[in-house]
Amino acid sequence: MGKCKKTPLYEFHKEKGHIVEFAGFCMPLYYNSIIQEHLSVRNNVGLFDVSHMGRIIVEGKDALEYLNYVTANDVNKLEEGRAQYTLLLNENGGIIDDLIIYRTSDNKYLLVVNAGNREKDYKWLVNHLNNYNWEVNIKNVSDKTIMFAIQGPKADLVMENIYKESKNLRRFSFLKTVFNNRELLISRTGYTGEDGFEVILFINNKEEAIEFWKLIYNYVNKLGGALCGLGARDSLRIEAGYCLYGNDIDENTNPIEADLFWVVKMYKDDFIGKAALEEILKKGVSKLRIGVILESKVVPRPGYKVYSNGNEIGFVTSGTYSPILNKGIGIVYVNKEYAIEGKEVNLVIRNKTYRGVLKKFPLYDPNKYGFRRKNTV
Amino acid sequence: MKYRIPDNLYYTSTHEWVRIIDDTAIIGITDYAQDMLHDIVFVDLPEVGRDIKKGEAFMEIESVKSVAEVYAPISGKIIEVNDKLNDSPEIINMSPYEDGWLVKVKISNKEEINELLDAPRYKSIIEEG
Repeated sequence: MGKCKKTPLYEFHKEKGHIVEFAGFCMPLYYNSIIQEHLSVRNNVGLFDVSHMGRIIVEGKDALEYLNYVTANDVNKLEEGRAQYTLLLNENGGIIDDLIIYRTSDNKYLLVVNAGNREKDYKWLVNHLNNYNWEVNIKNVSDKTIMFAIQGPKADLVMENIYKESKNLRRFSFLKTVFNNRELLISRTGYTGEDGFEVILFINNKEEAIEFWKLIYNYVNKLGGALCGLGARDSLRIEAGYCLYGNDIDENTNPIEADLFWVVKMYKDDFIGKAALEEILKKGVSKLRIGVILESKVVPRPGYKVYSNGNEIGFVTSGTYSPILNKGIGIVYVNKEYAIEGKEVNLVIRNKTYRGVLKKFPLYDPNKYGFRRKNTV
Repeated sequence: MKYRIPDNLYYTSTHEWVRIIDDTAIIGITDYAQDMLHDIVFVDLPEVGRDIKKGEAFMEIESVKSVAEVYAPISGKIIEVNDKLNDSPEIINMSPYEDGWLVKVKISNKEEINELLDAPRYKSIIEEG
């Protein structure tokens, strides 16, 4: 495991969990069981340390104009106190990263990026500052902050103990407050498909992070919730259909084929990748991202091929066992004409053929699970 | 030692166990193996009647994080498989030496029993890592 980076909670994770290396960080894969942790988030509440993700502040007079140029979504629509899912694209329309932008004040934004792209994104952002001589300051605050996720239908019961107003937040809204004199941001966002929160705390030392973690953990514990590792984080996001950078999207994938075109606002004057996407739209894409549910519990893994009537039509980019469906599930790219909900496909796994059906995300029933669920707990 | 290694079983260096009853061998994976795999979600059981050869990868066990092949500790014909594992493969995690057995084999060459490891020898292999 060599020289992987550690979050301030590393000692805690090491004592209670099973550590693996992910994106250069020593992180818990699970504490007790990936499946139990997954179910805890779908049915109750789970706590994740996601401090390995990158946090970058963009501020200054021209921050809005600059961000509208380097990201694909429309930052004009982003009000103070709101968060926005967006993409950094390269000139070919390929995806540099997917990220969340928080507008923390009029001319100040916080970007949360993938752990594996922390340095790459920072360099990319700084390198494009000179395009128009923008008056913008960019700071990587990843190591000065920690980030935890509190996810699940009972997450609001945990968060109202931390800060009462949390429960009034709408999805993709956030508030700013303080914890022990340190700046705290609480947002109603997440990567699990469930209702939930992500909290970002500015810290001066790791003891401050540990104290905050233990406070939240205590409330999670009282509700019978679970500590959750990266294993459950992965299986939850696959059920919900969220992309993992490096698996499902990368610099050779464009947002149209990745089914993320809703994020891209082509009506904007100009942004990096716009011209390329106009060309791609004219030609059309050949493949599309969609979900697959297998009949079997066998796990589809990246690179496995997808067939229809004996013809190869695509490949798997992420897969797991779904504790909700009790079946193998995955994220696949298939030839565009096959990317239809209900389409029967075959996966060939170690020389055996397994039947599956394509489905749009989420792969669970959204009336029973996820933040749009109709039943209450 | 955090892993159970019953004295009355035989073992392999690839973490299978064997219980010998007359000329029948019951085969499973060890407590150590199930813990390494964690969260077992799928088993690909072989067909009854199939002949397997010592050392052959004759079936697979899959967990959320990885896939492991199971190697035949002994040669013979498969006479029974643990069908319960199709629906509830997690039995292997909960009871690797009892309810989580994989297959029963009619031993074709009893000499091969002598090549298996006893509990102390297997224990030393795990401790060496």
